[in-house]
Amino acid sequence: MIEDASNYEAPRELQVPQDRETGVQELTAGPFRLRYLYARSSDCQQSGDPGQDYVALRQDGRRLAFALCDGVSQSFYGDLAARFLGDALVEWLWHYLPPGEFRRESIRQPLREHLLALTEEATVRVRQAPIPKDAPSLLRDALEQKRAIGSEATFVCGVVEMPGPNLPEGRVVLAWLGDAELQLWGQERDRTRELGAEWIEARRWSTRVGPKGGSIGVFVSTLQDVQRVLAYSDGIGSLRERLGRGIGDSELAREVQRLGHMPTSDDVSFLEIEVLPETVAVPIPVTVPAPVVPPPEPPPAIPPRPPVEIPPPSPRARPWLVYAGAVAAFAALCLVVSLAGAPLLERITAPSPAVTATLEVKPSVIVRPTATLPHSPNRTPTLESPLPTPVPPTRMPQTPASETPSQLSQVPPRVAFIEGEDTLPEDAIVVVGGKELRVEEDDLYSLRVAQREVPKSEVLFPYRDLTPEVSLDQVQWVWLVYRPQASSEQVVPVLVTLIVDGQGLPWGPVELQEGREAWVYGVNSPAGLCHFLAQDCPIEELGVPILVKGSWHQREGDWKLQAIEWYRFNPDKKVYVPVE
Amino acid sequence: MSYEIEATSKTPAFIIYLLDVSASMRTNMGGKQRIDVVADALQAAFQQMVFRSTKGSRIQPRYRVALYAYSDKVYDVPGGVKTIDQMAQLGIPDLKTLRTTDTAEAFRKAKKLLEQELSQLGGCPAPLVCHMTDGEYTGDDPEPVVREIMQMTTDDGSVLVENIFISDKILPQPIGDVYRWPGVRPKTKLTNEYAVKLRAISSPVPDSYRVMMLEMGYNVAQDAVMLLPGTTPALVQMGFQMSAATPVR
Repeated sequence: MIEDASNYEAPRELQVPQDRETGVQELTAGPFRLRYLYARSSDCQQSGDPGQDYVALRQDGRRLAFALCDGVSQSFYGDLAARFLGDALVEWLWHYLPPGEFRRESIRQPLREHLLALTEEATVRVRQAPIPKDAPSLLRDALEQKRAIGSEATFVCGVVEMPGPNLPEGRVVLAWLGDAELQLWGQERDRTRELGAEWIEARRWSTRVGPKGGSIGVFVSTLQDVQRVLAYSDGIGSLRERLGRGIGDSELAREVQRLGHMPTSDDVSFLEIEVLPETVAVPIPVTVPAPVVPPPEPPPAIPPRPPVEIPPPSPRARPWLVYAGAVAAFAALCLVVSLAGAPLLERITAPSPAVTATLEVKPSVIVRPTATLPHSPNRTPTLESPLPTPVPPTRMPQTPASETPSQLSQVPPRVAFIEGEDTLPEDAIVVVGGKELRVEEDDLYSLRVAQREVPKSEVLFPYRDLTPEVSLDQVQWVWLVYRPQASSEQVVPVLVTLIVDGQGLPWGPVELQEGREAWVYGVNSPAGLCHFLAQDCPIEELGVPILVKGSWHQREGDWKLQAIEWYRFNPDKKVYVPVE
Repeated sequence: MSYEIEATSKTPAFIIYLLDVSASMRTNMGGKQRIDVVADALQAAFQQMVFRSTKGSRIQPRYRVALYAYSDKVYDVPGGVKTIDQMAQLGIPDLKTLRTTDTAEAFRKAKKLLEQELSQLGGCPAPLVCHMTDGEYTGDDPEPVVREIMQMTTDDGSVLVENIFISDKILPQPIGDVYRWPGVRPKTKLTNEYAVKLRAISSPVPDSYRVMMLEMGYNVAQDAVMLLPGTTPALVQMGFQMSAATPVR
């Protein structure tokens, strides 16, 4: 982290516009040489619609944060999620990335929490996005279905921090979720395998549920032997090897044009960050000890847009002596560089015509010191979503006062679909789930229980009409949270949390007891809550929030929720109404 | 021949619907006339196509659809092949019942259309003919012409034929949960001779279609064929959903 930002120009932002093509651009910003391009799919170009990729970055000459997002076209206005997420990622990386942190989990966890917290504001954006007035009813229905799913995007993002007093070897942090890809190159070798990344389409960020389909990938390293970072969407993924080896501007532009003529033409975005070797090669002649930097305040659910200038980290948050030492050291560094006649920083320069390829259609670079959110043409505050905003039923049972408080730091815990016990966040207890539900013998369904101390332990539920191989994306039911155990004994649910539209309303914690009543909430889906609870589920409509009152019973060691009362959400009255 | 080509606006899927509108389609089914159940299922299939074709706020022409209603004659309902965005503008056609069931004539019409279209379908998903009927044919035996259709090939594979047979007497046992039902397989016992005949002229469900069906929550077995016994509205709907299960970009 740079201790004194006052020596630098104000941070510069770049948000590549989604409504036009941007030919190959090349810029130099301090120690970073940037190259990027953007091209919409042929469908979007013909119809005049915005592309659903998005690229944003911010730099101050010592640090560069970027995000490249690919909106999911099968979701609701994928360009919306891509833009919102891209800006939010850059914002988070710039302000809230744990300073000096090199442990992946210590970055993954707060990033994941932030991506979860973003859903509130993002959901509002989705609700407000208008549907064209002249849309035929079939299109309107499809868009409303998609609105219910939410807007989704995959992403890659990262930060490159040049060596400084607190980071003698600099730092590169990369994160990803989905099938947009990254490459990391050293001086003469491809280091991408070190990321340990899998580029999986089903992993996404959703405006409705946050990260889904798998865990966020994170890579952290010093800047030793880091020369290039490449980020690109799947629309240009077929060129990954050539991109990695290095492809000239004109050839790159030609290839993008060629891809645009393919039947499978998709949006294309590409960003290459080159860390100039002379800057990296010179070690920072500073030996001051790294200050103990307290972690930043956790980001609010809706991060405030920054002012025109990004303030330096507050000196009040650090030991004074260390801070002063760092400033002095940095001043010394600047003096050394200045005497050497090499300007440490260059302002972002307009792209040279010589390096701007033929793909360019209009001026396309937005360089601005402010961080205002691009105004979506899809937004209007007037349109109400048909999606219900579930409210707790008036008959919601109260938390028994006599119960032992939960051990969780946050009740309800932030839980989501995750895969594998190695991806559990620090304070997670358990999440019922897994990629697939498996039918076991004797009409029992096995639900994977991911738990740190009890990997691969399972809890069995009586068989109900669930479909094998159903994606968990379709299944939303009550969260069952389990007490941590040191052994692989039978896992006993201790906390049942009611989840309403991503917001938890705990009515526990409670020890499950025979006959104890419980409320469960879920969105009815073909293999969802209703089918899970009863074969003769009285609610046929799919996609509607339902609420079921039941009582727990243990049958041969397995807990079963016996449904007693059924409710479905009435969007007009915004209440749950009983279903006979 | 793998049925893996994705439908795009440049290489759209091509689906021909042949809908029996004979008098028996007025029979009650789950509180509605069969013809209304079919109209609802068709609407759901079109909705699915629109859903998959919508990027941003626009419907991309990723499907092309022909729709023939047949009785003693064959009627081109929308008036030629329409892209899904055009179909969305037109809306779901009103289906009226007539008299007899000249199934062979309907398939002959489909074959003629395919012959016209086939040369333009390079790089496109294999076409699909979705036939819905509720009773035996009253004209020629349709099997010979259907077999000719099934031998027509594209880059992606042979033309697919799906049959949705609305009847109460097809399977020995009722299907409990449509989402757990594996579909009609080569050895599934059928209690109706016409259903046996229709199975013989139904294509195996391609893997790519099966994956799409699984994503929709259905549990179609690997060796299932494209024959749907329309004993309930849910099964009729499943049949029409299958017709639109072409993989999409």
